[in-house]
Amino acid sequence: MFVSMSLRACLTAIGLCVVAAAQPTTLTYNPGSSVKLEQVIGDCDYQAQASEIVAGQTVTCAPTTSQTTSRFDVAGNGQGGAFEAGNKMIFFFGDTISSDPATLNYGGADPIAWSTTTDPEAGLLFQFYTQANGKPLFVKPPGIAMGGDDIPNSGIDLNGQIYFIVNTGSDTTATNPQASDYSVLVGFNEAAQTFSGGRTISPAGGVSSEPPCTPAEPAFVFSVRGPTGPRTFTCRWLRPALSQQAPVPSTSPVS
Amino acid sequence: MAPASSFATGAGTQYFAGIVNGLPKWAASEAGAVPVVQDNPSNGPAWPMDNPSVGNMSVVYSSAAGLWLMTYDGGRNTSTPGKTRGVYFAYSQQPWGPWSAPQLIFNDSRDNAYGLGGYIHNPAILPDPPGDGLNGPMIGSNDIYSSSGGGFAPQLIERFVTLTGNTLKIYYNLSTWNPYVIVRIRSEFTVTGCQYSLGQGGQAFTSSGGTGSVAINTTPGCPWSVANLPSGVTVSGVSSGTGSGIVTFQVSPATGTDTTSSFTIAGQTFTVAQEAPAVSGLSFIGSLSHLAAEGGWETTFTLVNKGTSPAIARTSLFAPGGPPLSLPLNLVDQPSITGSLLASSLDQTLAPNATFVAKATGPANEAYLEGSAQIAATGSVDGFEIFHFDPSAQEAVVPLETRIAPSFLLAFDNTNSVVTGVAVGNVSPQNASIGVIVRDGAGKVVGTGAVSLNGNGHTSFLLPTQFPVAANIRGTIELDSPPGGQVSALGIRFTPPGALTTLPTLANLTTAGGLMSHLASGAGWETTFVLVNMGTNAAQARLSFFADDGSALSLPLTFPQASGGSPATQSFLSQTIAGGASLWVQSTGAVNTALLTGSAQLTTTGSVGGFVIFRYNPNGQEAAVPLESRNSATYILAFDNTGGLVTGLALSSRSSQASSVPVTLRDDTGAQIGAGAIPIAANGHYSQLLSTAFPVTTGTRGTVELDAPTGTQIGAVGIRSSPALTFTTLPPLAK
Repeated sequence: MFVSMSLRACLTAIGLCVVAAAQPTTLTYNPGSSVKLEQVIGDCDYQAQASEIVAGQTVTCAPTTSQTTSRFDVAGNGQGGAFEAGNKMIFFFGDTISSDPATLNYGGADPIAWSTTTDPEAGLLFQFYTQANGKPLFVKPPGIAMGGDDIPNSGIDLNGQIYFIVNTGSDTTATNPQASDYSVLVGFNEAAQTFSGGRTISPAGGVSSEPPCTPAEPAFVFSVRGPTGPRTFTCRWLRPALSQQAPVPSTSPVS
Repeated sequence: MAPASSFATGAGTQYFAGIVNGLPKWAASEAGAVPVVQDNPSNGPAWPMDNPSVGNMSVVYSSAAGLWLMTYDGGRNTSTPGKTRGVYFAYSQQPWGPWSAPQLIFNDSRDNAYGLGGYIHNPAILPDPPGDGLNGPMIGSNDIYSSSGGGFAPQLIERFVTLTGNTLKIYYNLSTWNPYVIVRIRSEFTVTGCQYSLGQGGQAFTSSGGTGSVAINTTPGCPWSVANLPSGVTVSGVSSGTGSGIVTFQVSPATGTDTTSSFTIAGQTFTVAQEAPAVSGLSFIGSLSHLAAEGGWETTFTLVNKGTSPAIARTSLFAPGGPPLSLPLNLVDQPSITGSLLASSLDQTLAPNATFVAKATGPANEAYLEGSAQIAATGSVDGFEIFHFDPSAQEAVVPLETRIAPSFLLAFDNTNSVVTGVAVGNVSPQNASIGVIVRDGAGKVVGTGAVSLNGNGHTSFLLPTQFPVAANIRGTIELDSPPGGQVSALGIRFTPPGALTTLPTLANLTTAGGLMSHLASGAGWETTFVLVNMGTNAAQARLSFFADDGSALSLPLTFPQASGGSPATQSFLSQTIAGGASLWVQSTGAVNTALLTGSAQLTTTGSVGGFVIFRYNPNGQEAAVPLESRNSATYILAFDNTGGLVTGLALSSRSSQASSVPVTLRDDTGAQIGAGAIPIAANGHYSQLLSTAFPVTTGTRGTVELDAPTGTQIGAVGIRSSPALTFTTLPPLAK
């Protein structure tokens, strides 16, 4: 009887321990904690300048960390996704404009950059990949249109081989510019700074059987450090129905 | 989900087909796929109905939290976009879900980003200009005044995710449309529930054992306990608790052989490695005269067992004053050890032909540590280390110094903003006073001095700082081993714009001459030949240049030293070098000229040695090629083509006839993964990316063995290029 009671108590205790150890982790957003740390594209912080403009003061320049306009002639763009590649991060950007689009129109091209910044509270220092003329190197695989709205969506480093997933097939003159989009795997030879077109990951209309998904959504690659170690990279790519981004007018804030 | 090995082709791709009994189901075709997350599900997980769009999703894994984290822009198409549009966040223990209900973590208006005082343009603030002052730039024909901005594409930055206490911080780039730029945002979360991590993955002990400790990190109130203690390990403090704490343990003196055991804390495995009291056949192999860790530095040790039997290699680390230096070592090829192993001395058994790689890192926000290392082994073990500075990605190699020499000599160049650094290690346990002689390029002694080191001590200094007579000149520094002592030395050349290059250390020079297996001139490349006469008498030196096909290679040569000579284009250089003097010769083709590559051969009547530095002027990166005078039958290069690293191979021959150099390729376990041969002309040269020449080496780490054909002397060198396009010499290991 004593043994039985002890066993029951023990089991109960173990059960409690198990429950404690298995307690699901929850993350609760701290209201008001979302703050801008820095502007990462351009030379001067526009928020700082805006306050001077509104106050009628002389406009000065609060310099950005990367000085992307003067160093790389990258004055504006969107996206800015990142993935780990060796000891650095590679960033990909969407349709990019130069400091003077009237004389140098990049045609919606998409540059890439790398950074070895490790301190999240320090400035994020980009080094854009560049062409021989100092202008940005754009993701332009042969035979794959990379004009307006055709952009890199993600990337991954698999054992030293770098890939991007790009959206292509956009028609910026159409009512729904992305209706015929599809996703293509693009290899990047970092040493030669060249791109090669690969397989189609998500064909246009390839997911139409799964309501309410919009056809022609891009596939996504999850580029991560796996849980087994910092040097392990795990690839997960999940079906296009991960998202259902509704058609948007071209003037909406969509890269 | 696609296998990494066939990611390019997509072969073997499986599609998420739902969760059954908590486990994911996979389908072989896309037709069987189901959504992973869904906004407006008919029977899926609860997902708010007020944000019927998911755009520009980003997912990363946080090892600290043990969770997958997701951000996306949503809420665009609701009837109240001002309230619900913005950045949403969800998390999951598995990438396939179930994902948590999303939380709105950023909203233009709510978070004071929209309009006056913010950073996203609000066109409703009139008159405009000035409006809110946030006008442009914009892409295309969009009007900078009337176009509304809006946050979109929240792209998580994986390495920036931090968990401190019970606060998780995420960082993401957010596009703002007007102005058409990107800003970086930080958002914070409170973590509830229990996660555990250990301060390090293990600790190594000498045979005498000792006291160890490890931090258990968790959130307040979370219970933990120590379990599965192995024999010889006892907990000397508390063995259970709640919240973060320290576990202190005692390791008994060892008996028998090297051991590796482990115990757990809150289910997290902690490894204990201990050396045996005596390892039969263990003897000193060589020393590494400089290492750097923490404060942004890391040092990667690479050891290769060149023998046909297993060998134990002992790596011992020493602080500048000579005591053992404990560093966190990441054993790259041993994923069973989670995290780093804290060690000042570590035994490792290497299979025949296997490679052992250990990376000493440490926190970037800790003080910089430096020192030296010594290698002992029971077999034919060789190697090198590479120290690396993370912020600039610059790195330099430290060859394993196996020579016992009365003097080591470094040729330096402290002109034109180039600065030479010197590291010296005392390999003996006795204190040492190391004599120093500084000579100018003509061989004239311009200064003398001494460096005092404790037993096993180390020092490093900038040469012009320690010996001002060496400022703004080229010359040599001679380091003399004390009687009965043994030292090792390393030179590091710092060149604008901040590149690091190892200067090969010269010692025990004879009249053998040798091969310099790579040179490059033109198309932005520059090669500097450095010859040094270590003897006291003048000696004749002839340096002959050969093209890839073995023919004479004419190079444009300049002589930066005043007495060096006049510029000329020629296929050889023949000069008399005074005793103690050094000769610097540069070959720089114009950027728009064709690239010339090849090799050089040195013959001499005296104790003349040297090396080559080749440099790529567009990015200022350079690497050294030592003079190969060992005339070994076999050379081994340890390569690493992982993590964005790329290995280049250069090979040259000294022979009167064409030949074919047999090649054996092995992975880091020592297993053969390929074989081949490199045809090479008489006096010819070959250079190629290893992964191009031998695709089996792509994405892997291992060794390439090069065997000299009968009657042919070969030289080889490896060049490692990092993702930041820096160059580092990989020293050939003579078998």
